[in-house]
Amino acid sequence: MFDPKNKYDVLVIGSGASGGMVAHTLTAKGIRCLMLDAGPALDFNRDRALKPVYELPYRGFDRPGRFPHVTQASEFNANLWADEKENPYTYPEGDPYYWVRVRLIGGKTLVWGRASWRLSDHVFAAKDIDGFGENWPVRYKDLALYYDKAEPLFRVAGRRDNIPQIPDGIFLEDNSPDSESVKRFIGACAKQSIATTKARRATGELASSANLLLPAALATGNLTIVPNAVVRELTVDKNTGLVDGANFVDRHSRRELRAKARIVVVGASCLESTRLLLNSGVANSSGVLGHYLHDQFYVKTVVQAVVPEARNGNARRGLMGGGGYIPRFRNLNKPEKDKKFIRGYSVDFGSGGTPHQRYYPAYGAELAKMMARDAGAGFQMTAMGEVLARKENYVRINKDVKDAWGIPALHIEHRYTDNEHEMAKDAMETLSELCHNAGFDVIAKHWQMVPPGESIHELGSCRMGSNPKTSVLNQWNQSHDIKNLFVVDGSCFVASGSQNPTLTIVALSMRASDYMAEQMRSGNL
Amino acid sequence: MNRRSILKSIAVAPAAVALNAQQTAKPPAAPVEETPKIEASVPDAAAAPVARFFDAEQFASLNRLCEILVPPAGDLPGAKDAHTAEFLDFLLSESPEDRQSLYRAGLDRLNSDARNRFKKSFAALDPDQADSLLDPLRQPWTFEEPSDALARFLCTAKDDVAQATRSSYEYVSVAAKRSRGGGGVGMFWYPIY
Repeated sequence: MFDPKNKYDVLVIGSGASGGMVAHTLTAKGIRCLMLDAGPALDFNRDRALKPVYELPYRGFDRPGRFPHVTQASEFNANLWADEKENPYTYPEGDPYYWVRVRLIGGKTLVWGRASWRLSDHVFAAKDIDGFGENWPVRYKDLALYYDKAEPLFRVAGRRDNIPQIPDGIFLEDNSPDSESVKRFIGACAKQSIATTKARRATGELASSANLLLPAALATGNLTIVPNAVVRELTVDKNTGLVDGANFVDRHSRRELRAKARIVVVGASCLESTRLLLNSGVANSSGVLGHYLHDQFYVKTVVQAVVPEARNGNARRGLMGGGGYIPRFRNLNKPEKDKKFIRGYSVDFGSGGTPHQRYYPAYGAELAKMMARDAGAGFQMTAMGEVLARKENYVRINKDVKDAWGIPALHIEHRYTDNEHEMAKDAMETLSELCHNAGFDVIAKHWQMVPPGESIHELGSCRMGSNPKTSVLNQWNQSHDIKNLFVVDGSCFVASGSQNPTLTIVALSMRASDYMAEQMRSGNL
Repeated sequence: MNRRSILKSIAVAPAAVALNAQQTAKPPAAPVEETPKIEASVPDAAAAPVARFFDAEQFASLNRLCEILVPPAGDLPGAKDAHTAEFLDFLLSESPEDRQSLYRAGLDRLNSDARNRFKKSFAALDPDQADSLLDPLRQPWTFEEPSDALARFLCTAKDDVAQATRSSYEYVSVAAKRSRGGGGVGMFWYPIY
């Protein structure tokens, strides 16, 4: 039974990258944390099994229409994603937003791609370069120490290449040799002064909050985790104006409960955190809560090429295999005059595999012959571009639609503009040229971006800033309005850059936690 | 054996069994605490699927299209042997309306084109005749869907037929013997409480 005298020091809402990092940091300092998460905890022995695809009811296609917005879902992993009927949201007709959610202890770190890049001042101070938007209230020097701590925790592997826009870190050194096809592509990039490096990725199949952060926090004895706790709203002490806890609903029984704490940390994932604040009616004196939503667009397989020498059964190891990363190179230190866009894009490239059958203008035996010829000879890449944070891209509460627990749903309006379109075209043209220069055959190319949200890199809508009139949080992820309220996930971003955001979310969460602990120690919180 | 002998053997047999059991009596076995693993089959290994969604002519056309799109390759079964048309009939019966319309209209169009040009159904066309109606599949790939409804249907069916064939019991049973990766085995997550 909850004892009101035994209040927790900190209530953490969410258990993914940000919530997990906050619990990991604070509990190590002896601070008692209560963590609520809307989903259950995985039990690997009970919840999963190897199965042949033909044993699945829909032979791997999954039940049609079950996940209209989750292209990552397969029939094998469908039960890992948040059910779209239980968790509805809306968007304007004709402008779909693909909101991809995981409601499990560990959050999206259970399924993430593990790409781990540092941001640089090319992102933190982007306004100084091109005049668009706002600068972050932090700079790289403020976060470097926390990146240094986060990378070993997540066992990030990479190669130190001294590329300013993706600062080097504390890596498990990846000095594995490149295949000949990768070397040729890197050579073509170098001729155009385009930097390349190895992928930087958290190692281990499951580099997750659930196995890297939460066990250590639990081992301190200072963390209590309550799964299946769907938070309805934050509660506010009318006398002080401070938040003092949250009301939540048990996912199974629909029983209503209330949790109390001195400090509330929201890390429920970007848009869920903003939804919670909007439903609670707090932290919005600026009027910008919900605004400046952005993400990173993907152009999946922007170029599909084939390495000619690898055709006809010659895709041997040494010639094919491996891959790498092109960090942003456009508009890096100043806007390029001949470009119709600001900011830039990064590229993941990979060697090997067989191109998808859709690229071949054939069917039947002829198609099989073509694909056998190109087996293992594929060379492909995906572009990931910065989406500008614009006020008109926003979310609000739609009171007409409620989730399975009666909590008002989110309405999301997010459209890409010419800046993103022009960037995507540039990616296609540039990468296609690089492939030609490397001696590859380009068999398909396009510049069609996935719909907003599909990259699962949703950011902003509760942004940081130095000015309380134009931002929701200060540089410590602390609400300008309510000093004991912190929001630590990707919603705090001011600009995205083109790097995958998780490592920065983790570093910011750790930094905010250190600040919180210090403020508690000094009696300010 | 006459009636008297039969009655005699029925009457005597239980007593003989009981006597035998008494002579070899052992303490009862410890109770089983876990349910035994019951070996079971997948339905496709024991029974034939029944098509219910498409009408007879549409289904015949789909079956013929499957046969053309994914023919057998060596010992690997083609779409016809894998009962791909029957599976797609089931999948489409559960699919959103726009997908159902795409398939039905596409199959009807193949049939009407076949009748206009060759005076017979698509299912009855010889390979060269059928080939002449599938020209949209010989066009270069573009990211945007084709504007023509038949081309949209054929591109969709090309992917669906290939996937449904490769994930069939018939195909996987052969492919798994060829290579470890051919078994179509994945990590399945049950509903999580």
